[in-house]
Amino acid sequence: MALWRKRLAGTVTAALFLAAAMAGGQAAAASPPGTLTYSWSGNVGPLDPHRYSPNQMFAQAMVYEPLVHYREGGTIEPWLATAWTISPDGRTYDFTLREGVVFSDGTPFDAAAVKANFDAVLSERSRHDWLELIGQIQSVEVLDSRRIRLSLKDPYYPTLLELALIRPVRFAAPSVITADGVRSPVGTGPWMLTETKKGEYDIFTRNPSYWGPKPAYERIVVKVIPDPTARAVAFETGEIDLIYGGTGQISADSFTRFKARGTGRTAVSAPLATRTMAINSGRAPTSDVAVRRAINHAVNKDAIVAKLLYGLEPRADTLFAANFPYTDLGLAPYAFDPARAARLLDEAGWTLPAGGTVRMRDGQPLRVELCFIGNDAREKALAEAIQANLKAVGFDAVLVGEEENAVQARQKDGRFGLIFGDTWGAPYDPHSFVSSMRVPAHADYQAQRGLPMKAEIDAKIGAVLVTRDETARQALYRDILTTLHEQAVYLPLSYLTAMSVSRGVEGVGFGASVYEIRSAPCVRHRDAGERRMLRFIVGRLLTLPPLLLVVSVGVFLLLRLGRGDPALDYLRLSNIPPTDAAVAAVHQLLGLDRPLAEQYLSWLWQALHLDFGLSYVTRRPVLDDLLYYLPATLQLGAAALVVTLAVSLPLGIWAARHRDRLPDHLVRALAFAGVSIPNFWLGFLLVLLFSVTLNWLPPLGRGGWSHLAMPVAAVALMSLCINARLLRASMLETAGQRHVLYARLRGLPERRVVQNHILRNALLPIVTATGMHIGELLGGTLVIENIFGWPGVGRYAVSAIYNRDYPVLQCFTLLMTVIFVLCNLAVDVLYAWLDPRIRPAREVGR
Amino acid sequence: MSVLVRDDGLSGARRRLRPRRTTLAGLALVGVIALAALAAPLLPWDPEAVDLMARLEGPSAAHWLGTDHLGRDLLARLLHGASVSLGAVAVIVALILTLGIGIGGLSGFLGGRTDRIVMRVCDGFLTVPTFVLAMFMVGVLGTGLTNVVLAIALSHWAWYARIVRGMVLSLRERDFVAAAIVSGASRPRVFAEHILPGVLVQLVVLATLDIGHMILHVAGLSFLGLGVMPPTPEWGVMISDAREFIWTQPMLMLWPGLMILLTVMGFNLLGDALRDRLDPMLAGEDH
Repeated sequence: MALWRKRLAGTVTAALFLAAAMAGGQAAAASPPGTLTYSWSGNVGPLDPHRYSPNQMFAQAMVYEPLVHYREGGTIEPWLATAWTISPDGRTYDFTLREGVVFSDGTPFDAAAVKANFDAVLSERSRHDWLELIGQIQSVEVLDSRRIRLSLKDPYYPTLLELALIRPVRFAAPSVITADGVRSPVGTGPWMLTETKKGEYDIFTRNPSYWGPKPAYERIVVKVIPDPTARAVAFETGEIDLIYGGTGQISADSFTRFKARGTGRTAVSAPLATRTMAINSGRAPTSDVAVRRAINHAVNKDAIVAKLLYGLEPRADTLFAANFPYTDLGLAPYAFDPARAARLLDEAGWTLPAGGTVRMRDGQPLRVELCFIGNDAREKALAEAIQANLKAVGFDAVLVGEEENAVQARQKDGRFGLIFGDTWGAPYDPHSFVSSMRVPAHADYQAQRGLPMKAEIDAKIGAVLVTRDETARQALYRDILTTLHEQAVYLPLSYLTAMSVSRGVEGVGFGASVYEIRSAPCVRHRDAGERRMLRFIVGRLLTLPPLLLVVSVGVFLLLRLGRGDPALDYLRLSNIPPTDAAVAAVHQLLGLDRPLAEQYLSWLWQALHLDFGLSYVTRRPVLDDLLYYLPATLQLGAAALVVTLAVSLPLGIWAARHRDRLPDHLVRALAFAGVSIPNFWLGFLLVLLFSVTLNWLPPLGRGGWSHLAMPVAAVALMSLCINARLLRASMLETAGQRHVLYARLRGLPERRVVQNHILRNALLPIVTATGMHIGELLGGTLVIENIFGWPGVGRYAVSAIYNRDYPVLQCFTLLMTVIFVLCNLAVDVLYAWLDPRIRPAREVGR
Repeated sequence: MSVLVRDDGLSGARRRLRPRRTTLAGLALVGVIALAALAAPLLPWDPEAVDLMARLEGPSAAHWLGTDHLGRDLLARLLHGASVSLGAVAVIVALILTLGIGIGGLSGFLGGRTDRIVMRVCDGFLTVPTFVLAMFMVGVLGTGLTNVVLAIALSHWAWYARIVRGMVLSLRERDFVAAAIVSGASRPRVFAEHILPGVLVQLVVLATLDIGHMILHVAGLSFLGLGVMPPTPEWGVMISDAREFIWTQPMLMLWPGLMILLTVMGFNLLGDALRDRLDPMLAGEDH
């Protein structure tokens, strides 16, 4: 269960903060109309209290509550349980439940409800392997309607701490619990999830029957903003009222700028967890303790902290900060000392060859894989800085930037030299984190695997969690943490903090009015050749199925024969270790064990029934997901097409009619610049001008016309310029033809000559070109969506490529192809309509 | 009387005789960028040298255009970015020409069943929008610059194969080719000596016109995070990296974008000029 790990520290406090602020805290004063707008990188998920990703912890904490509550500093206070007793042997916990608590659907919160939730958690023990408490629970008994008893295998001391966690031990109404998770999110907490729009927002409404103090807001709107830059712009332009959370919510650069300029109220928390890298002791060359120590001495943490982290996170010298329980040990830090690092490497036999920059030993270069999440800007910057530090002492760190899931897979199976992995923060540190070091599917286990004393460490971890003697526990923690520090299996970088920026609600609300776009310009009235036209259309339609069949075979074959075994990706995305048995099971499940032709035919058969399989990541039907995001993409693409035509036609005509004069030069210059501008760069320039500087247009999201303006401009510019150029050239060419001369000789008014004889024929190449532009516009849309937070298929497809989610990739490619082909068909029909040679009998202009 | 009917025979001919200013501008732009790409490795600045103490600096004597978020010299990265972009495009063009001529030529020359099958495959490739196809190929091959180059080549070759086939078919019927065949020349020789040169000229013109487009595709995919791996300098990635600093250091984003703009513009100008010079059949009226 590594999915939740990375962003954990931030989310814990974010959750506490939201719960507190919304229960009448300080943020209330600033915000008048009762709605607080917050943002998160994705939707909050189905909100099952007992499950992990894609459920977001801050949201789970808003809807569900624990038996006991963890307060800063590690004290436990009553929450849904008002009192508890612990038996002398430390194995039995009796809880008395709070009176008068009801779930948001009106059903009572009682001992039976508590038991039902425990049963749901315990029925899937393997899901919660990482949490020692779940393994420790032997039974849960109902004593009476208000009392419940928890029996443990061992006297496990962190029991109350782990009951306070946001997941998995929180309580949903028994009426919604099913064998396959909760049906809908019904909890006892202060908030209810009332609306979810995928890729756009989630809305929480105050729970009227909440037992505690009422939140200060009526509603919380959580907008989906995946990109930190976009989030900062959204705050600046007033689209959101609050930024809160750990790393990555906004860039440190934005935060310091907000602070310096007084944009909103900024605050930084105390250390919450540790930003660290695990160093693999199970793999050469880092299996050598001297090499690991050299790495610790080679990295200039002060510079990293001051420059890359803007001094917002204090430097870390040990795995846990000294303000956590049992961790104030006075361990000697590895100081930044490149000379010492070089000496350690020299002594270990890694020497610089004459004239070389990479140390060698026995013909092997000193090379290590440094793994990070490729699209995480901060990890990337840190990785590059560490790489440069290591290079300075003759150490070659190869950067491996991959998608989040792939990085997690590496954490689990130990394919790394150095890898990022934060500790979990309060209340998990140090006990849960240490406990997880014994689980092979954790980077920490993998990093320590090569230590000669690994078995001994694991035994001590087992002992420390169940010892009832406080001094023995201290001594054991001292042993464990000292050994890990001396063996240098971690490279602690900094202590994570959370930051917040807040401001009262003002200005921009967001009525998400979805509106229809007019389709492409209509063709004129029908004529006598209707039937021949129909035959033409049917003929063209008939060519489509074979074409799509060829494409589907190609797509299918390339995916199957392309890169590796899809079963491995399936397992990786399901967090299942790829044992032979598991691989075989997935082969059977996905039908990969059958002959290719058979696989294709069965896939085709299902595809014909509009079943394109389930996404490896979301486990939902791929087509449903894509169709969900498709309207946004089509809207943007169609709007761009309309703008392309609406602007390029007058421009082209204008230029042609003023040939070699100022309008002509202007249009040609514009067209030339326009076809050379990268659309994504243009997108940023527009944001810089219209959102940041002038504050005229919203920087992201989908809503009214104002949201559409910038993305459409960025997508349409190139096609528009090509079209204008083409129309100008085509008009000039047509103008020289004989039939135009005859028309003029017949004494027709200039206006009619241009309209009927020049423009009409000059439009033909434009119509052909439009077919091409549709492909370009689609491609442009896919890129531009990523900049403007436009909830279309582009973002979904990019993440599918990252995750190697093959069913999504396959369906996406085919869907885009079908749209493209249909658009081109429409263009062909239009062409036939306009072109006298193809078009059936009608007055021809010559 | 309207300007639309002005006879321009004379002025058109005159324009064609002396090099236009736009042609010279195109040559100059491409020349400068190519020079930058070639000279980049010879310059004293290291595009990958991280100096956290000197990050996000403005222009100075040590760093003429300032430094990026890791204190790397921006100018050095821009210049090395030129070699990455031009190198990628050179490989792409080489691949496309090889695939286009090889497959299209063979298809047209052999005709019959081979031709039909090859053309159906081409149709398949042409049916998918190019950028979507490139994204799909990256999905199949995996991320990274090499794979992006392959993906773009694979998503463009079919256009060229089609054109080559068309040219071969029309050339095959020409007298001089028939004469060569009658005089006993072997088929490959006829292809290499009589057909290839004509095809090549037109293809090079087309490819030059397409280069700008390909540079934009490479940058676009890299911008989406599907392209080069750090710390290699590439313009699309540099723009993506600079988004965080859009307020404090907007120049970080402006420079790489400007480089792309100028390079693409240079190739477009050059392509137009080449087309007008070498291939009057394709020459448009738009200059």
